Amino acid sequence: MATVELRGVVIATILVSFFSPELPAQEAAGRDWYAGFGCANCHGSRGEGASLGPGVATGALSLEEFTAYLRRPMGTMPAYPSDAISDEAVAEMYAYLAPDTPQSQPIGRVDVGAELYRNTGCFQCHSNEAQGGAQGPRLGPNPISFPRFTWYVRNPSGSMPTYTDSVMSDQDLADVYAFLEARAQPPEVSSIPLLAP
Amino acid sequence: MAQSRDSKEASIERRRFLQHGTLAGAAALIGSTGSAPTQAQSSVDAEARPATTPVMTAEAESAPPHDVRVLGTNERSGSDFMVDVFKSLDFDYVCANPGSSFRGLHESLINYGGNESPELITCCHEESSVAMAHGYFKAEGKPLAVMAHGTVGLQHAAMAIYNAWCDRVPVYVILGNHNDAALRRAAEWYHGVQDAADMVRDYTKWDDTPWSLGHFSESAVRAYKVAMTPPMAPVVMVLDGHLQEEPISKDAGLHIPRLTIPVPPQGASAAVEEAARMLVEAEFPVLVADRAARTPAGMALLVELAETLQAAVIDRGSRLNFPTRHPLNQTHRYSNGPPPMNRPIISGADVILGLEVMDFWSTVNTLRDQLHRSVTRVARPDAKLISITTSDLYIRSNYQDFRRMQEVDLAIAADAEATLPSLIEAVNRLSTPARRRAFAERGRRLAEASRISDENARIAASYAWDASPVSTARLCAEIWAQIKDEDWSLVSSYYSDGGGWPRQLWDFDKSYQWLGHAGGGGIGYGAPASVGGALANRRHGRFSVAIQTDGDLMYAPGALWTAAHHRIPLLSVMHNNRAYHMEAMHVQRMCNARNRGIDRAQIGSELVDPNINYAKMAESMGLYTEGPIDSPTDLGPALERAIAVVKRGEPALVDVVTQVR
Repeated sequence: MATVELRGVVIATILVSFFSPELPAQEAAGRDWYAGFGCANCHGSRGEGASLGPGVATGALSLEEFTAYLRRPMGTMPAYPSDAISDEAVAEMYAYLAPDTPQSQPIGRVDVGAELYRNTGCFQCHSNEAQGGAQGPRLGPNPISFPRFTWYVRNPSGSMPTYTDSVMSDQDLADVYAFLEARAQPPEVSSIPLLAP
Repeated sequence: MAQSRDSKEASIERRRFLQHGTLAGAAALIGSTGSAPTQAQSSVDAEARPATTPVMTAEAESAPPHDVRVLGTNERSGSDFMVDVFKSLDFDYVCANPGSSFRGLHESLINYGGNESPELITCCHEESSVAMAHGYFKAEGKPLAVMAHGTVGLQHAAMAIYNAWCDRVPVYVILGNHNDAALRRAAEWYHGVQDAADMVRDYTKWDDTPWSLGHFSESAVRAYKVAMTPPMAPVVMVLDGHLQEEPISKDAGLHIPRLTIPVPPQGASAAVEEAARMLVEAEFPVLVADRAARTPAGMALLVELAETLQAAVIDRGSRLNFPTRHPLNQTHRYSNGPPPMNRPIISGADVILGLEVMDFWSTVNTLRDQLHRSVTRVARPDAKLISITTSDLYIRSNYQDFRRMQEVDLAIAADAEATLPSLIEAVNRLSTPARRRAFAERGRRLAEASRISDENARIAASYAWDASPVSTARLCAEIWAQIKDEDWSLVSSYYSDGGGWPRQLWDFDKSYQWLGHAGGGGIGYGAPASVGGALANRRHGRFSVAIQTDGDLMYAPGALWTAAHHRIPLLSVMHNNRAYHMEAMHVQRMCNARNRGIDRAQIGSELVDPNINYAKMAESMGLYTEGPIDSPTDLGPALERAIAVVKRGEPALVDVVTQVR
């Protein structure tokens, strides 16, 4: 079995390397780690997701969170302790998987997004103005990138309900995203006497 | 056949009654008009008319009394003695709706007892009576008594008793019942029960049904003692109606036992020494407190332990265990969500001390609430866990509030507050100068993290600052601005906890400023518990404020009337988000998981169409009111006007239409 697995990793490494464009050194190293540890077996050759694991290529995790998850994952994913893969290697893998490629994005409509934001229950956790609260983080203004946003909505890591494309299309998400972008910037805290320390 | 004969006799009796009554009515008519109808005419009229209110007859008035008596001069009632016993237990108040099964005790309280110590508080729902007692205890540290029918009253009260039990709060429940079937009136049959306390026995600590007054006095004192011994919990006394009402001789030699509350158990010295050693040697110990501060002294002890160790503290909030603005308070850097939600407090700890933590498991683990539930340990695999709790001394089978079992390295079955002095002493003794230097450095890092966390909270509060409906952050900031210079007490913010903002933006440093939660998650706790808390605060001149959720108030809004009737000063600020939003979120979760439509999740959870006007509702019960307010700029002035009313000693309600969270 071990031989078969090793052969699979080698083949995956060769395939990933062969079909990948020229990458900066850090991403190239990350690509090798990604393939070498067999991540592609579950998450697809470029982290796009497959039947055994969610997409991670455009995930919403910070490097710190990504590392923490690798060290102590949930569900069936095996753990990768620091003596198996160093923090530096994880950072390289993270760089490889980061969504650095501009993606096509539907044009969002703020007014439609406002309606969807309410009718599909986003406000229940994230509050009426997407400012967040006890049940969910702030979403806007200045939301995370649209690819990361859509990835997270489809593959939430916590207890957030999953929104599949059959109940919220990419166009719906683009509309909600436009609503999030359009949220008003808050006043400076220093200009609000009630919030003085 | 028997039924037929009874029916015939009843019919004859009714005819006679009607005839006599009609004669009396006729006599009265003669006196007033002088035109007397004949007897025959009267009888015919009586047959034709429907039965009306009985009229006293001259014949009945002149008849000698039959089997009627009142208390003799050398007598008193059994319930008078019961009042003597309750006075010996120093109850301040008894909360109750009136009920015939305890009418004897009711009369004794208000006449024999002078309606003082205890004073009767008129409630509009037995659930409110118990919840008032629940809130009162957490502000005052003394239990209240509650009276209710043994059947229908207890059925109403049951949820609130469950809340109190889960919250380890003593409530002294007195149930009326007529045990002797041969003496029952009609209503006393369906208000009668063989074993009244049975219904709540799974979530009360002790009960008894005394068969004599001597039995009663021992059990009444025992019940109080049991309720007040940690872990505290409600108790039930079932008082027979006949025992209450039957006269007794004034010189009957009835004894009232002396009450001595047991000293709570302290942890064994060797175990405490071991816990201290683990804490001193730890690089990043975390102290987690839930119901640790059983009295005001508890908070001071926890502060002393934390400062000695310069250890992070997480206050899970069933009581106010630790000042919110203390630099070692890391509560808001903590979340029990999975990575990446989990913040590096629990996950960074090498030793975690749980002090009266009901749910240690969820402190160090997380369960992901998805269609396929999964569990992750948040704490380090090698983290050492210590528990000090009276939960290890008390457990019941049926209701599952004991939570999931958490493996720990050292379990001390003892009262946390009682154990803290010896733990502090041991920590001091074992701390070397080198360790103290390490503690100091750790304290500096925690203080800086706490400062940043506070700053981030204020920034977060600024979002949607001017939005309408009013954000929960704005709501809480507006309240805080107007009460911070008072001797204030947040008597309830159940169920929403004000979006979590009070404990992020307000400066809590006294135990009565935060009264925790419902315990069992039963909605309908907030409004009456806040009235109970305010009742306790009234004698101390404290300013009581509640952040009152709309769904909670709709369970038993009569608690507001009780506040008005008894002149209980309380500012209720509505967090009126027009829905049971927590439940809407659960339904939303199911909609998503089943992937068949997500835009109808609010059905069954919203409180709209029509919107409820809480200001009008409260006004009808005699409260000063403001609102509904949906513009944040109107909120400050409205609060100011309402606060002036509360300072005059009356309750007021400000209805604020808010965002969901």
